[in-house]
Amino acid sequence: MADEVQVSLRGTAPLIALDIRGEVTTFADEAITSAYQAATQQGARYILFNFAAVDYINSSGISIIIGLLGEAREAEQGLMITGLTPHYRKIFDMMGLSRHAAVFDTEQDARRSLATN
Amino acid sequence: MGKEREQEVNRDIELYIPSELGWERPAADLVASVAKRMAFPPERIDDIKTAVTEAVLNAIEHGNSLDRTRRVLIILTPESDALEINVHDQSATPLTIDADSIAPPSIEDRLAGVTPARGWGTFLIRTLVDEVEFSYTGEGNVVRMVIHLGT
Repeated sequence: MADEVQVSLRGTAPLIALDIRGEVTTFADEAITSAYQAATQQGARYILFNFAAVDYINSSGISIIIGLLGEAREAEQGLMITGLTPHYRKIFDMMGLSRHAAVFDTEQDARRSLATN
Repeated sequence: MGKEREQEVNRDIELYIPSELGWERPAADLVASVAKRMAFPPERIDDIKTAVTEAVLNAIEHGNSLDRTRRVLIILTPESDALEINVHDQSATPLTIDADSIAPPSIEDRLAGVTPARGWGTFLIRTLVDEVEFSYTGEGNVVRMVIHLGT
């Protein structure tokens, strides 16, 4: 029972958004990691994970994001998150993810934060 | 009819699923449906779904080692003031639930590569439900979770 996920890149450096659609589970590893690497190759200094079209995230899926957090830290990239439901935002807070990736209610808020920095 | 009414009604709901990743989601959907019927608030139903998802994932991946010949049994017991959920695997050996998995994991350690990036499931279960017990029956591991109405 393979879950389905699609990840598409949007925008240009310095901020590239990864629009994730479907389920973020262990089956999403290749799609999300490939998209992150493609954004990095395109010169992204900031990568915005957009979860607005995601209806299911489990701990295996969150582990993928944690792994990419480590890579982004090494590459001195900023990792940003938007589109989480209140429940998954709570989960991300509980796990400490929001201490290392800025979580925004909207993509506009994320872009605005760069403009003011 | 009258005698039937006098007898205690067993409202347990049992669901067997195969040990394949992905089946945790329909299991969680069933639990959510029962929780909704019991009038749990939506935000608590989300907590229950995540806890069940993680318990079933543990059973599939670690308890049953993704062996498709083994099944995971989920038993729901709706009470007037609480929902009890038991998740059984068919592991021949008990899973080790050590202090590290009970304590909140450190994402800083994970990012530093000190510990693997996985293993958050037990932490989420313990955080999201009111009571949790991990045990081994000789036939498999059991995760018992209780969520009270009104918490």
